[in-house]
Amino acid sequence: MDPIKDMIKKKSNESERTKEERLTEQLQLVAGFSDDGIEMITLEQLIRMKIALLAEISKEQQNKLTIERIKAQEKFKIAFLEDGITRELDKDEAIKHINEGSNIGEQLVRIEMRAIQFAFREAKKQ
Amino acid sequence: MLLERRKNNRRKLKGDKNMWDWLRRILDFLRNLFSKKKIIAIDSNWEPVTEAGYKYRQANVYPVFRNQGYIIVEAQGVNANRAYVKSRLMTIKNLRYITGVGHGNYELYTGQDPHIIFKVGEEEEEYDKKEVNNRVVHLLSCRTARYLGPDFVKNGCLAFFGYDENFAFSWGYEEIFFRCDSEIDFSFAKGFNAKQAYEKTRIIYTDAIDALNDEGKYYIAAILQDDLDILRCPSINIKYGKENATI
Repeated sequence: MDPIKDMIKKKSNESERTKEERLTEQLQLVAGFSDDGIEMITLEQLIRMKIALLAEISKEQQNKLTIERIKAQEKFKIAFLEDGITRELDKDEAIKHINEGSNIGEQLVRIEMRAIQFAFREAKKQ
Repeated sequence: MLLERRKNNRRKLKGDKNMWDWLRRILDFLRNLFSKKKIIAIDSNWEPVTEAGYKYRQANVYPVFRNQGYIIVEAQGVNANRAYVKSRLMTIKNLRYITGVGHGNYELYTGQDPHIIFKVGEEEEEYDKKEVNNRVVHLLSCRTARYLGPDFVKNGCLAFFGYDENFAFSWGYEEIFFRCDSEIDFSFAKGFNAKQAYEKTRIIYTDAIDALNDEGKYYIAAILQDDLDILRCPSINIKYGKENATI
């Protein structure tokens, strides 16, 4: 097996949850907004209601989604190699950055939107 | 009497031969030392994030360079400071490659504690263009590709590899992130040029992203994708140097 894939497989095997359980968890997380743009809906609802993924979602809505998803994570810790900031962010610090619209906050939103796309793609395969 | 003299002459000749042999060996060693290609490793390790990167690179990246016959100039830990790095870069001949892990920003790269190692602009801390002239640079750091990398290239750096925004990673998966980035180092160590190094690195990143998605690790895959998206090098833009640059 490819060494990098092998590394990931090993890491994944250390985890208590299976990949199916991870996908199920993703389906229950908020991933978009209802047609009226007010209510947050889960990835599962989004697929069922055939709402286009991340379509016409404003910056503010992306921030809201990201904050809700970060809050829902069991553990959250991300590290950066940026000079002059806290190098490791926990949930509260991450949410603060998003609310402040800092560079880090924008990056966290970007990553979260990408994670939704990845989970959506995988869910559609099932 | 004649026999005795011949024996003495032979002993003397043998002694002379040994001496010349040793001298030749010393000269060979020195010639080898000075003609061998060298790289400098500027790695800080003063807090957990840089320490993780340093440990990975120490165990996995530098052995590859050594196996390829390179000498590693170690500007690591307490030696990752401006004075030490500058003195090495200004004096050591045949130093072809500058690499390291450290915190960074748009216009600077830091070492231990964090001392500024390279900075664009301000005269006191500004680096000398000879430090990067005719060399390839790869920094595993945040944001240095915005201004520092292109500034290096303007000053004669052959190729720059770095990140335009924040390089992020997820704890517990740091080795995967460092492995992807270090493909740049492995490629140069093995004689590939900048274009090939990027191509190989992009493949490793993409494979890792796909494998993480296959395992249901969407968030980690998304962080890795973001890192790949902000990787800058000559294949992305000419301001990062030449695609045919090698070390």
